[in-house]
Amino acid sequence: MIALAAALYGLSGCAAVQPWQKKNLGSPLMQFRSEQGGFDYQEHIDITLEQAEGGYTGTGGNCGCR
Amino acid sequence: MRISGCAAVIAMVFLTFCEVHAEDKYSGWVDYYQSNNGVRDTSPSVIISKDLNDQSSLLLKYDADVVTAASWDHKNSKTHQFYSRDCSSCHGTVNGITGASKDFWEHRQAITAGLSHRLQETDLKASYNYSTENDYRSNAVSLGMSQDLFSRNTTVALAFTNAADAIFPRYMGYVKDKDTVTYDLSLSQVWSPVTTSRFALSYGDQYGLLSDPYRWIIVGGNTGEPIAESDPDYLAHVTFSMFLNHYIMSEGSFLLDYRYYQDNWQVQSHTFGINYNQALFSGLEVSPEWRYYTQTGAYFFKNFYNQPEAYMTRDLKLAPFYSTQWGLSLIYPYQESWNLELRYLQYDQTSALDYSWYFYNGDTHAQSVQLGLTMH
Repeated sequence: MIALAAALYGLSGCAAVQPWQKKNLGSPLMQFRSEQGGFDYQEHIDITLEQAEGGYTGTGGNCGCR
Repeated sequence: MRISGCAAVIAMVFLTFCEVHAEDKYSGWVDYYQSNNGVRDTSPSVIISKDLNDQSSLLLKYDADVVTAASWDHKNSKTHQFYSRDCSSCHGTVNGITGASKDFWEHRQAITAGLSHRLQETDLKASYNYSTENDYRSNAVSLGMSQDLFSRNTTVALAFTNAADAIFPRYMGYVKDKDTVTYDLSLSQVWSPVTTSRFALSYGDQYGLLSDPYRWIIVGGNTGEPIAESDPDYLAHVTFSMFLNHYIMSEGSFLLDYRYYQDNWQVQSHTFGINYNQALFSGLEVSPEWRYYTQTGAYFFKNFYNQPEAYMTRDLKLAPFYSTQWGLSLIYPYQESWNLELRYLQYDQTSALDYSWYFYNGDTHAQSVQLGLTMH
Protein backbone atom coordinates (compact mmCIF):
# COMPACT_ATOMS: atom_id res chain seq x y z
CA MET A 1 0.00 0.00 0.00
CA ILE A 2 2.92 2.34 0.71
CA ALA A 3 4.32 1.60 -2.74
CA LEU A 4 0.91 2.26 -4.31
CA ALA A 5 0.62 5.57 -2.47
CA ALA A 6 4.11 6.57 -3.57
CA ALA A 7 3.33 5.63 -7.18
CA LEU A 8 0.13 7.67 -7.14
CA TYR A 9 1.96 10.65 -5.64
CA GLY A 10 4.54 10.44 -8.41
CA LEU A 11 1.92 10.06 -11.12
CA SER A 12 0.05 13.13 -9.89
CA GLY A 13 2.93 15.23 -11.20
CA CYS A 14 2.76 13.83 -14.73
CA ALA A 15 1.53 16.07 -17.52
CA ALA A 16 -2.18 15.37 -17.94
CA VAL A 17 -3.46 14.06 -21.26
CA GLN A 18 -6.61 16.02 -22.05
CA PRO A 19 -9.87 14.27 -23.02
CA TRP A 20 -9.74 15.61 -26.59
CA GLN A 21 -6.29 14.02 -27.00
CA LYS A 22 -7.51 10.50 -26.13
CA LYS A 23 -9.25 9.63 -29.37
CA ASN A 24 -6.68 6.98 -30.39
CA LEU A 25 -6.59 5.48 -26.89
CA GLY A 26 -10.28 4.58 -27.27
CA SER A 27 -9.60 2.62 -30.44
CA PRO A 28 -10.27 -1.16 -30.28
CA LEU A 29 -6.64 -1.51 -31.41
CA MET A 30 -5.58 -0.24 -27.97
CA GLN A 31 -7.59 -2.64 -25.82
CA PHE A 32 -5.59 -4.57 -23.24
CA ARG A 33 -5.34 -8.27 -24.10
CA SER A 34 -7.72 -9.31 -21.32
CA GLU A 35 -10.40 -7.05 -22.80
CA GLN A 36 -10.18 -8.50 -26.30
CA GLY A 37 -12.70 -10.98 -27.64
CA GLY A 38 -11.71 -14.61 -27.26
CA PHE A 39 -9.24 -13.94 -24.44
CA ASP A 40 -11.29 -15.79 -21.81
CA TYR A 41 -11.15 -19.04 -23.78
CA GLN A 42 -7.43 -18.68 -24.42
CA GLU A 43 -6.81 -18.23 -20.69
CA HIS A 44 -9.13 -21.19 -19.99
CA ILE A 45 -6.92 -23.38 -22.21
CA ASP A 46 -3.65 -22.00 -20.86
CA ILE A 47 -4.50 -22.92 -17.24
CA THR A 48 -5.05 -26.55 -18.29
CA LEU A 49 -1.55 -26.69 -19.79
CA GLU A 50 0.49 -24.42 -17.50
CA GLN A 51 0.77 -23.92 -13.74
CA ALA A 52 0.75 -20.10 -13.85
CA GLU A 53 -2.60 -18.37 -13.59
CA GLY A 54 -3.93 -14.90 -12.97
CA GLY A 55 -2.48 -11.48 -13.65
CA TYR A 56 -4.89 -10.62 -16.48
CA THR A 57 -8.44 -10.53 -15.18
CA GLY A 58 -9.76 -10.43 -11.65
CA THR A 59 -12.96 -12.47 -11.88
CA GLY A 60 -14.28 -15.88 -12.81
CA GLY A 61 -14.83 -19.30 -11.30
CA ASN A 62 -12.99 -22.61 -11.40
CA CYS A 63 -13.44 -25.83 -13.34
CA GLY A 64 -12.28 -29.44 -13.18
CA CYS A 65 -10.12 -28.82 -16.22
CA ARG A 66 -7.01 -28.12 -14.14
CA MET B 1 -28.80 -26.38 -9.07
CA ARG B 2 -28.69 -27.60 -12.62
CA ILE B 3 -28.14 -25.19 -15.45
CA SER B 4 -30.45 -25.47 -18.39
CA GLY B 5 -28.41 -24.22 -21.32
CA CYS B 6 -31.62 -23.64 -23.26
CA ALA B 7 -33.14 -21.56 -20.44
CA ALA B 8 -30.01 -19.42 -20.18
CA VAL B 9 -29.93 -18.72 -23.90
CA ILE B 10 -33.69 -18.00 -23.98
CA ALA B 11 -33.25 -15.46 -21.16
CA MET B 12 -30.45 -13.78 -23.05
CA VAL B 13 -32.45 -13.64 -26.28
CA PHE B 14 -35.36 -12.03 -24.35
CA LEU B 15 -32.99 -9.46 -22.86
CA THR B 16 -31.71 -8.69 -26.34
CA PHE B 17 -35.13 -7.41 -27.43
CA CYS B 18 -35.43 -5.02 -24.49
CA GLU B 19 -34.74 -1.33 -25.05
CA VAL B 20 -31.30 -0.95 -26.63
CA HIS B 21 -28.76 1.57 -25.25
CA ALA B 22 -25.73 2.94 -27.06
CA GLU B 23 -23.23 1.00 -24.90
CA ASP B 24 -24.99 -2.40 -25.14
CA LYS B 25 -22.86 -5.22 -26.45
CA TYR B 26 -23.80 -8.72 -27.54
CA SER B 27 -21.39 -11.38 -28.64
CA GLY B 28 -21.41 -15.07 -29.41
CA TRP B 29 -18.36 -17.30 -29.76
CA VAL B 30 -17.60 -20.83 -30.83
CA ASP B 31 -14.15 -22.05 -29.83
CA TYR B 32 -12.51 -25.29 -30.88
CA TYR B 33 -9.33 -26.84 -29.45
CA GLN B 34 -7.43 -29.99 -30.32
CA SER B 35 -4.10 -31.45 -29.26
CA ASN B 36 -1.79 -34.22 -30.42
CA ASN B 37 -2.68 -36.15 -27.24
CA GLY B 38 -6.23 -36.77 -28.36
CA VAL B 39 -7.95 -34.01 -26.35
CA ARG B 40 -10.62 -32.07 -28.21
CA ASP B 41 -12.84 -29.32 -26.87
CA THR B 42 -15.74 -27.42 -28.38
CA SER B 43 -16.88 -24.38 -26.43
CA PRO B 44 -19.81 -22.14 -27.36
CA SER B 45 -20.42 -18.95 -25.37
CA VAL B 46 -22.84 -16.03 -25.34
CA ILE B 47 -22.08 -12.71 -23.63
CA ILE B 48 -24.45 -9.81 -23.09
CA SER B 49 -23.50 -6.47 -21.59
CA LYS B 50 -26.55 -4.22 -21.30
CA ASP B 51 -26.96 -0.74 -19.85
CA LEU B 52 -29.82 -0.54 -17.35
CA ASN B 53 -29.51 3.25 -17.11
CA ASP B 54 -26.82 5.93 -17.38
CA GLN B 55 -24.92 4.53 -14.39
CA SER B 56 -25.57 0.79 -14.21
CA SER B 57 -25.10 -2.15 -16.51
CA LEU B 58 -25.84 -5.85 -16.41
CA LEU B 59 -23.52 -8.63 -17.58
CA LEU B 60 -24.72 -12.12 -18.48
CA LYS B 61 -22.53 -14.87 -19.83
CA TYR B 62 -23.16 -18.52 -20.68
CA ASP B 63 -20.42 -20.87 -21.80
CA ALA B 64 -20.03 -24.60 -22.17
CA ASP B 65 -17.25 -27.10 -22.86
CA VAL B 66 -17.63 -30.47 -24.49
CA VAL B 67 -14.26 -32.14 -23.92
CA THR B 68 -13.28 -35.46 -25.42
CA ALA B 69 -10.13 -37.46 -24.95
CA ALA B 70 -10.81 -39.93 -27.68
CA SER B 71 -7.55 -41.82 -27.21
CA TRP B 72 -8.09 -42.13 -23.44
CA ASP B 73 -8.62 -45.86 -23.38
CA HIS B 74 -8.67 -46.73 -19.71
CA LYS B 75 -8.09 -50.44 -20.06
CA ASN B 76 -5.17 -50.12 -22.44
CA SER B 77 -3.55 -47.06 -20.85
CA LYS B 78 0.06 -47.24 -19.72
CA THR B 79 -1.08 -47.39 -16.12
CA HIS B 80 -2.88 -50.67 -16.82
CA GLN B 81 -0.68 -52.42 -19.37
CA PHE B 82 1.42 -54.25 -16.80
CA TYR B 83 -1.51 -55.45 -14.73
CA SER B 84 -4.05 -58.15 -15.31
CA ARG B 85 -6.09 -57.65 -12.18
CA ASP B 86 -9.79 -57.42 -11.73
CA CYS B 87 -10.86 -53.75 -12.00
CA SER B 88 -12.39 -53.73 -8.52
CA SER B 89 -9.04 -54.55 -6.89
CA CYS B 90 -7.93 -50.95 -7.54
CA HIS B 91 -11.18 -49.11 -8.23
CA GLY B 92 -13.26 -50.62 -5.44
CA THR B 93 -16.92 -51.31 -6.16
CA VAL B 94 -16.73 -49.84 -9.62
CA ASN B 95 -19.73 -50.13 -11.82
CA GLY B 96 -19.46 -49.40 -15.49
CA ILE B 97 -15.82 -50.01 -16.29
CA THR B 98 -15.79 -52.89 -18.68
CA GLY B 99 -13.13 -54.41 -20.85
CA ALA B 100 -14.36 -52.44 -23.86
CA SER B 101 -12.46 -49.44 -25.17
CA LYS B 102 -14.22 -46.22 -24.23
CA ASP B 103 -14.11 -42.64 -25.34
CA PHE B 104 -13.97 -40.42 -22.27
CA TRP B 105 -15.76 -37.09 -22.44
CA GLU B 106 -16.90 -34.35 -20.11
CA HIS B 107 -19.55 -31.68 -20.44
CA ARG B 108 -19.22 -28.41 -18.50
CA GLN B 109 -21.68 -25.54 -18.32
CA ALA B 110 -21.17 -22.19 -16.64
CA ILE B 111 -23.21 -19.06 -16.20
CA THR B 112 -22.06 -15.67 -14.94
CA ALA B 113 -24.25 -12.76 -13.84
CA GLY B 114 -22.78 -9.40 -12.91
CA LEU B 115 -23.75 -5.83 -12.12
CA SER B 116 -21.67 -2.68 -12.40
CA HIS B 117 -22.52 0.79 -11.12
CA ARG B 118 -20.71 4.08 -11.64
CA LEU B 119 -20.61 6.74 -8.93
CA GLN B 120 -18.86 9.81 -10.36
CA GLU B 121 -15.25 8.56 -10.83
CA THR B 122 -15.77 5.19 -9.11
CA ASP B 123 -16.92 1.91 -10.68
CA LEU B 124 -18.33 -0.83 -8.46
CA LYS B 125 -18.72 -4.38 -9.78
CA ALA B 126 -20.12 -7.63 -8.42
CA SER B 127 -20.58 -10.94 -10.17
CA TYR B 128 -21.52 -14.55 -9.48
CA ASN B 129 -20.30 -17.54 -11.47
CA TYR B 130 -21.75 -21.06 -11.32
CA SER B 131 -20.01 -23.88 -13.17
CA THR B 132 -21.03 -27.53 -13.21
CA GLU B 133 -19.62 -30.77 -14.67
CA ASN B 134 -20.34 -34.44 -14.10
CA ASP B 135 -17.71 -34.52 -11.34
CA TYR B 136 -17.09 -30.87 -10.39
CA ARG B 137 -19.12 -27.88 -9.23
CA SER B 138 -17.92 -24.32 -8.60
CA ASN B 139 -19.59 -21.31 -7.00
CA ALA B 140 -17.59 -18.07 -7.26
CA VAL B 141 -18.32 -14.54 -6.11
CA SER B 142 -16.27 -11.58 -7.35
CA LEU B 143 -16.27 -8.01 -6.06
CA GLY B 144 -14.38 -5.17 -7.69
CA MET B 145 -13.85 -1.45 -7.51
CA SER B 146 -11.96 0.96 -9.76
CA GLN B 147 -11.21 4.63 -9.17
CA ASP B 148 -10.31 7.15 -11.88
CA LEU B 149 -7.79 9.80 -10.80
CA PHE B 150 -5.94 12.80 -12.23
CA SER B 151 -8.42 13.69 -15.03
CA ARG B 152 -8.96 9.98 -15.75
CA ASN B 153 -5.33 9.47 -16.68
CA THR B 154 -4.80 7.06 -13.78
CA THR B 155 -7.05 4.18 -12.70
CA VAL B 156 -6.59 2.07 -9.59
CA ALA B 157 -8.58 -1.17 -9.41
CA LEU B 158 -9.12 -3.76 -6.69
CA ALA B 159 -10.83 -7.13 -7.07
CA PHE B 160 -11.60 -10.03 -4.75
CA THR B 161 -12.80 -13.49 -5.81
CA ASN B 162 -13.90 -16.38 -3.58
CA ALA B 163 -14.65 -19.74 -5.21
CA ALA B 164 -16.08 -22.68 -3.26
CA ASP B 165 -15.78 -25.89 -5.27
CA ALA B 166 -17.08 -29.43 -4.73
CA ILE B 167 -15.28 -32.38 -6.34
CA PHE B 168 -17.10 -35.73 -6.63
CA PRO B 169 -15.08 -38.06 -8.89
CA ARG B 170 -16.98 -40.66 -10.86
CA TYR B 171 -17.09 -44.20 -9.44
CA MET B 172 -15.32 -43.16 -6.20
CA GLY B 173 -18.24 -42.35 -3.92
CA TYR B 174 -16.93 -39.27 -2.12
CA VAL B 175 -17.21 -35.47 -2.20
CA LYS B 176 -14.31 -33.21 -1.30
CA ASP B 177 -13.93 -29.43 -1.24
CA LYS B 178 -11.56 -26.93 -2.79
CA ASP B 179 -11.63 -23.27 -1.80
CA THR B 180 -9.93 -20.46 -3.72
CA VAL B 181 -9.43 -16.83 -2.68
CA THR B 182 -7.79 -14.29 -5.01
CA TYR B 183 -6.89 -10.63 -4.51
CA ASP B 184 -6.04 -8.39 -7.48
CA LEU B 185 -4.63 -4.87 -7.57
CA SER B 186 -3.91 -2.93 -10.77
CA LEU B 187 -2.71 0.52 -11.73
CA SER B 188 -3.41 1.79 -15.26
CA GLN B 189 -1.77 4.96 -16.58
CA VAL B 190 -2.16 7.12 -19.68
CA TRP B 191 1.30 8.46 -20.50
CA SER B 192 0.58 10.25 -23.77
CA PRO B 193 -2.12 10.45 -26.45
CA VAL B 194 -0.68 7.20 -27.86
CA THR B 195 0.70 5.24 -24.89
CA THR B 196 -0.92 3.48 -21.95
CA SER B 197 0.34 0.94 -19.44
CA ARG B 198 -0.96 -1.28 -16.68
CA PHE B 199 0.74 -2.88 -13.68
CA ALA B 200 -1.07 -5.69 -11.87
CA LEU B 201 -0.40 -7.67 -8.70
CA SER B 202 -2.33 -10.79 -7.79
CA TYR B 203 -2.25 -13.08 -4.74
CA GLY B 204 -4.19 -16.33 -4.48
CA ASP B 205 -4.78 -19.16 -1.99
CA GLN B 206 -6.16 -22.62 -2.75
CA TYR B 207 -7.01 -25.14 -0.04
CA GLY B 208 -8.52 -28.61 -0.31
CA LEU B 209 -8.33 -31.41 -2.88
CA LEU B 210 -5.71 -30.19 -5.34
CA SER B 211 -4.71 -33.62 -6.73
CA ASP B 212 -6.42 -35.23 -9.71
CA PRO B 213 -8.37 -38.25 -8.32
CA TYR B 214 -8.17 -40.01 -11.71
CA ARG B 215 -4.36 -39.99 -11.89
CA TRP B 216 -2.30 -42.92 -10.63
CA ILE B 217 1.47 -43.32 -10.47
CA ILE B 218 3.47 -46.49 -11.04
CA VAL B 219 6.10 -46.49 -8.29
CA GLY B 220 9.24 -48.54 -8.67
CA GLY B 221 9.12 -49.44 -12.36
CA ASN B 222 7.01 -52.05 -14.12
CA THR B 223 6.93 -54.31 -11.07
CA GLY B 224 5.72 -51.52 -8.83
CA GLU B 225 2.32 -50.70 -7.41
CA PRO B 226 -0.02 -47.98 -8.71
CA ILE B 227 -0.48 -45.28 -6.08
CA ALA B 228 -2.95 -42.42 -6.29
CA GLU B 229 -1.51 -39.02 -7.04
CA SER B 230 -1.03 -36.87 -3.93
CA ASP B 231 -0.41 -33.13 -4.13
CA PRO B 232 -0.16 -30.83 -1.08
CA ASP B 233 -3.56 -29.54 0.02
CA TYR B 234 -2.46 -25.88 0.10
CA LEU B 235 -1.25 -23.71 -2.77
CA ALA B 236 -0.40 -20.00 -2.55
CA HIS B 237 0.71 -17.96 -5.51
CA VAL B 238 1.69 -14.41 -6.39
CA THR B 239 1.68 -12.87 -9.87
CA PHE B 240 3.10 -9.61 -11.17
CA SER B 241 2.16 -8.38 -14.65
CA MET B 242 3.05 -5.41 -16.85
CA PHE B 243 1.28 -4.28 -20.01
CA LEU B 244 2.30 -1.59 -22.48
CA ASN B 245 0.11 -0.42 -25.37
CA HIS B 246 1.40 1.99 -28.01
CA TYR B 247 -0.63 3.41 -30.91
CA ILE B 248 1.03 3.88 -34.29
CA MET B 249 -0.13 6.69 -36.56
CA SER B 250 -0.76 4.32 -39.47
CA GLU B 251 -3.78 2.94 -37.55
CA GLY B 252 -1.87 0.23 -35.81
CA SER B 253 -0.71 -0.65 -32.33
CA PHE B 254 1.83 -2.67 -30.40
CA LEU B 255 0.83 -4.51 -27.23
CA LEU B 256 3.59 -5.86 -25.01
CA ASP B 257 3.04 -7.84 -21.83
CA TYR B 258 5.06 -9.68 -19.22
CA ARG B 259 3.94 -11.83 -16.28
CA TYR B 260 5.95 -13.33 -13.43
CA TYR B 261 4.40 -16.16 -11.37
CA GLN B 262 5.63 -17.90 -8.24
CA ASP B 263 3.97 -20.34 -5.84
CA ASN B 264 4.80 -22.21 -2.65
CA TRP B 265 5.27 -25.44 -4.63
CA GLN B 266 8.39 -23.67 -5.97
CA VAL B 267 7.08 -23.25 -9.49
CA GLN B 268 8.34 -20.04 -11.07
CA SER B 269 7.31 -18.89 -14.52
CA HIS B 270 7.79 -16.06 -16.98
CA THR B 271 5.34 -15.15 -19.74
CA PHE B 272 6.19 -12.74 -22.59
CA GLY B 273 3.62 -11.66 -25.13
CA ILE B 274 3.55 -9.34 -28.10
CA ASN B 275 0.62 -8.37 -30.33
CA TYR B 276 0.64 -6.19 -33.39
CA ASN B 277 -2.70 -4.82 -34.55
CA GLN B 278 -3.14 -3.18 -37.95
CA ALA B 279 -6.25 -1.72 -39.54
CA LEU B 280 -6.39 -2.36 -43.28
CA PHE B 281 -8.87 -1.52 -46.04
CA SER B 282 -12.62 -1.43 -45.45
CA GLY B 283 -12.09 -1.52 -41.68
CA LEU B 284 -10.54 -5.00 -41.72
CA GLU B 285 -8.09 -5.54 -38.83
CA VAL B 286 -5.30 -8.11 -38.76
CA SER B 287 -3.50 -9.04 -35.53
CA PRO B 288 -0.54 -11.41 -35.40
CA GLU B 289 0.56 -12.42 -31.89
CA TRP B 290 3.35 -14.36 -30.24
CA ARG B 291 3.73 -15.65 -26.70
CA TYR B 292 6.60 -17.36 -24.89
CA TYR B 293 6.19 -19.19 -21.58
CA THR B 294 8.72 -20.95 -19.37
CA GLN B 295 8.38 -22.55 -15.94
CA THR B 296 10.39 -24.51 -13.39
CA GLY B 297 9.00 -27.72 -11.91
CA ALA B 298 7.33 -28.20 -8.53
CA TYR B 299 9.68 -29.36 -5.79
CA PHE B 300 7.93 -32.74 -5.53
CA PHE B 301 7.65 -33.38 -9.28
CA LYS B 302 9.69 -36.31 -10.62
CA ASN B 303 9.68 -38.01 -13.98
CA PHE B 304 9.77 -41.39 -12.17
CA TYR B 305 9.22 -42.33 -8.54
CA ASN B 306 11.30 -45.29 -7.33
CA GLN B 307 9.62 -45.41 -3.92
CA PRO B 308 6.49 -43.92 -2.39
CA GLU B 309 6.85 -40.32 -1.27
CA ALA B 310 4.61 -37.96 0.68
CA TYR B 311 3.76 -35.99 -2.46
CA MET B 312 3.79 -37.55 -5.91
CA THR B 313 2.24 -36.26 -9.11
CA ARG B 314 1.76 -37.12 -12.79
CA ASP B 315 0.48 -33.61 -13.48
CA LEU B 316 2.51 -32.34 -16.41
CA LYS B 317 1.59 -28.75 -15.44
CA LEU B 318 4.05 -29.21 -12.58
CA ALA B 319 6.97 -30.28 -14.81
CA PRO B 320 9.71 -27.91 -16.05
CA PHE B 321 9.09 -26.90 -19.67
CA TYR B 322 8.76 -23.98 -22.04
CA SER B 323 6.16 -23.23 -24.69
CA THR B 324 5.59 -20.92 -27.61
CA GLN B 325 2.29 -19.81 -29.01
CA TRP B 326 1.66 -17.84 -32.12
CA GLY B 327 -1.61 -16.74 -33.59
CA LEU B 328 -3.42 -14.61 -36.10
CA SER B 329 -6.73 -12.77 -35.72
CA LEU B 330 -8.87 -11.20 -38.40
CA ILE B 331 -11.63 -8.77 -37.44
CA TYR B 332 -14.10 -7.73 -40.12
CA PRO B 333 -16.71 -5.01 -39.46
CA TYR B 334 -19.90 -6.40 -40.98
CA GLN B 335 -22.31 -3.52 -41.45
CA GLU B 336 -22.19 -0.61 -39.04
CA SER B 337 -22.55 -2.34 -35.69
CA TRP B 338 -21.40 -5.93 -36.21
CA ASN B 339 -17.89 -7.37 -35.99
CA LEU B 340 -16.93 -10.81 -37.23
CA GLU B 341 -13.73 -12.19 -35.69
CA LEU B 342 -11.70 -15.26 -36.63
CA ARG B 343 -8.67 -16.32 -34.60
CA TYR B 344 -6.17 -19.16 -34.96
CA LEU B 345 -3.64 -20.20 -32.29
CA GLN B 346 -0.81 -22.74 -32.48
CA TYR B 347 0.67 -23.95 -29.17
CA ASP B 348 3.89 -25.96 -28.88
CA GLN B 349 5.40 -27.23 -25.65
CA THR B 350 8.99 -28.45 -25.17
CA SER B 351 10.30 -30.43 -22.20
CA ALA B 352 13.01 -32.97 -21.36
CA LEU B 353 10.53 -35.54 -19.99
CA ASP B 354 10.58 -39.27 -20.65
CA TYR B 355 6.93 -40.05 -21.44
CA SER B 356 7.24 -43.85 -21.00
CA TRP B 357 4.87 -43.98 -18.02
CA TYR B 358 2.56 -41.12 -18.94
CA PHE B 359 -0.77 -41.33 -20.72
CA TYR B 360 0.49 -38.71 -23.19
CA ASN B 361 3.01 -39.84 -25.80
CA GLY B 362 5.00 -36.59 -25.97
CA ASP B 363 5.04 -32.84 -25.52
CA THR B 364 1.76 -31.09 -26.21
CA HIS B 365 1.15 -29.50 -29.59
CA ALA B 366 -2.27 -27.94 -29.98
CA GLN B 367 -4.36 -25.76 -32.21
CA SER B 368 -7.40 -23.66 -31.45
CA VAL B 369 -9.79 -21.80 -33.70
CA GLN B 370 -12.18 -19.14 -32.43
CA LEU B 371 -15.09 -17.61 -34.31
CA GLY B 372 -16.94 -14.68 -32.78
CA LEU B 373 -19.77 -12.34 -33.75
CA THR B 374 -20.24 -9.11 -31.79
CA MET B 375 -22.96 -6.49 -32.01
CA HIS B 376 -22.35 -3.13 -30.37
